[in-house]
Amino acid sequence: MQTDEQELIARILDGHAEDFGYFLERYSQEAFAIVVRLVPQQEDAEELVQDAFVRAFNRLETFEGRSSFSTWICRIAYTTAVSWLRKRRMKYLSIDEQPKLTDTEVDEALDDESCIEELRRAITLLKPDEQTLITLYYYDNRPLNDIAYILDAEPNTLATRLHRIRRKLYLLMKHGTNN
Amino acid sequence: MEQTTKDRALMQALAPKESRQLPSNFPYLTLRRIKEEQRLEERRQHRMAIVTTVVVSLVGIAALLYLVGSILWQSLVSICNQPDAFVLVWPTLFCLIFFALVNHWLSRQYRKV
Repeated sequence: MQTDEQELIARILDGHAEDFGYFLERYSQEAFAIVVRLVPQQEDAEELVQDAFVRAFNRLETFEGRSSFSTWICRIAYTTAVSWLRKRRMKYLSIDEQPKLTDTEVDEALDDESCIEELRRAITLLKPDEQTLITLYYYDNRPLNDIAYILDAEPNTLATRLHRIRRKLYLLMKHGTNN
Repeated sequence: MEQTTKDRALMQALAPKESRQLPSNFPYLTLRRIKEEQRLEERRQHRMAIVTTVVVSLVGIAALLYLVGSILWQSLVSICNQPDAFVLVWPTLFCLIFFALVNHWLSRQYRKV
C-alpha cells in the first residue's frame, strides 16, 4: 500500500471522514466491476458497492495493510454481493459428475471464438465464486494470491478450482441448456 | 494454465457487453450516507449514555436510601426543627437558578459555533 494511503487512513481514523472520498473516487469502479458481474441489475449493484464501502469505512481500523486497499475493498464488495445473493436464494447450476474429458477438448472449446455466446451463457450458470474466480484470473489478470484473499481461499486450491471450472464451462456449453 | 495465447474465446466472453459505470456522484452520495450513519451512531451513543447515567444514579440513590435512609431522615427532621434551619435556602436556590441559566446560555452559544 502507498504511504500516502496509509496516512489518509490514519487521518480518517482520526476523525476526517471526508478523506474517505479519495478511496471512493479511486476504487469504487473496481469494486463495482466485481459486483456487477454477480448482480447484473445496475441499482442493486450500486447499492451493494455503497454497502461495501460503508462496511469498509466502519471497519477501517481492522485494515492492517497486508494486502492493497484495492484487494481489501474488492473482498468486502465480493462478500457483500455473495451474502445478498444468498439471501435472495439464487440458484446456480451445480455439476457434480464430471465425465471423462481431455484437457485438449476443453482448451479448444475455450479458445474457439465462434462459441462466445455459448460461453457467455455458460458463465452466467456458474456459481458466484466461480464467476468471480475466472473473471479475476482470466479477464482482470490478477495474481492468484490477490484472488485467494478476495475469495477467502487458499492460493494452492485455486489452480485446481480453475481447472474444474474450465471443464464445467465446457459441459455447460455442450449440455448446459438441458441440465 | 497460460493465459496469453489460449482461451481467447473465454476472455472475450468474460468481457462485459457494455461498459457499466457508477454514477459520477457515487462518492458524494456514499460519503453523505457514511456521515449520516456516523451522526445516527453518535446520537445512539448519546442516548445510551443518558440512559446509563439515569439508571446508575437511580440505583445509587436506592442503595443509599436502603443503607442509610433512616439515619438521613432522622438528621433531616432534627435540622428542620432548628429555628435557623432555612436561612441558607433562599440564597442557595437563587444561586442554583442563576447557574442553571448561565449554563443554558453557554450551551446555546457553544452549539452555534
